[in-house]
Amino acid sequence: MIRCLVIDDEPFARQLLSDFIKKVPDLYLEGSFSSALKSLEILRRKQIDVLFLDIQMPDISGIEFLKTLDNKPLVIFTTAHAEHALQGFETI
Amino acid sequence: MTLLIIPLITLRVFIENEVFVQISANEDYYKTIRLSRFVHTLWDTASFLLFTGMVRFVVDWFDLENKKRQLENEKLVAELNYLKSQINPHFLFNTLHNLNYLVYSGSKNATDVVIKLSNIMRYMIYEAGKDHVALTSEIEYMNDYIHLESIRLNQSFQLDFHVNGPVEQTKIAPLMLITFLENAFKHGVSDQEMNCWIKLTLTINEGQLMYQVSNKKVRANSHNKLKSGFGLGNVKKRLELSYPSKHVLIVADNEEMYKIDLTLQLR
Repeated sequence: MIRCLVIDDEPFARQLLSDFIKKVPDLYLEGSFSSALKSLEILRRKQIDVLFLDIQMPDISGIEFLKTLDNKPLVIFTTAHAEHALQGFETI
Repeated sequence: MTLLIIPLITLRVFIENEVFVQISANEDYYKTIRLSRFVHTLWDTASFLLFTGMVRFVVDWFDLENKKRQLENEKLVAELNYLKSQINPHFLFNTLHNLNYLVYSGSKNATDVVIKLSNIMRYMIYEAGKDHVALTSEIEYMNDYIHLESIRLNQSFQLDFHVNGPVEQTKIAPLMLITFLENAFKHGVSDQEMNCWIKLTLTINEGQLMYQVSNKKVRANSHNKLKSGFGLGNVKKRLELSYPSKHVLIVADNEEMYKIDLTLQLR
């Protein structure tokens, strides 16, 4: 089983991703958050395998957030904006 | 100029020596080269050159000044257009992605979003490029924007929008008022927090536009001070370009709320 976490400030985007994850048998949704800071606690407590991470968010961007994580899970950047794509790869 | 003096003097002396000698009674003067004649000639030539030179200089100077002004104007227009173009793409893409979800989940709101988005795009494409637009168009745009945000955030906020005075006859530079509204949404509303509110007042009075936007500060959105300045810096520059020394912008920022107070002197 692959444990997933969704972080996205757009409510609908979060909803859509969560729905998709629930539909895939091998994926398990540990939680979904509107801000990266809110997910810190669960990231500390539980083992997360895959992080679905938005880049452009109001308080801290997905890229900045990922840099602060010591124990990085696998990350899938989810963004509506193509110009963030390259920056996303540079972080990993 | 000095390069011109020598051939001119030579030419004049040559003509005087060869031609004037034949037709003038004052033969002696032209036959000999005396100091007085030399000084005369030099003075005549130099003053003539100086005069034409000055005329030329003045003409050139005005020309250059004109070109400079034109260039500056073009630069300002380009800068204004660039600033305007920065405003919308994120909002458009986010709305399309939200629309994707609404369609996917079979929500009734989907058609609403399509219509509002089409209104917004019409304003962006056909109106926003102009210097001035009808204030009512900007207000309609703001209402559509509010509607889209209320769908996106599941109406988790309270919004008051009061408009007073003769807005129908008023014209305004486009995308000024909306930017402050967008900012208020960005920093004042979150679907994860209760009791969010935004207050808008727009008043037209004797050629003056007064516009106030205030919002509760949302805790989740308050960490990033850097980004909160982005939209505001952009609109400040645009105010400077569209209403030079005809606007006053006061920002009040404290723990609980954020408020802007804008006054525009309309022509």
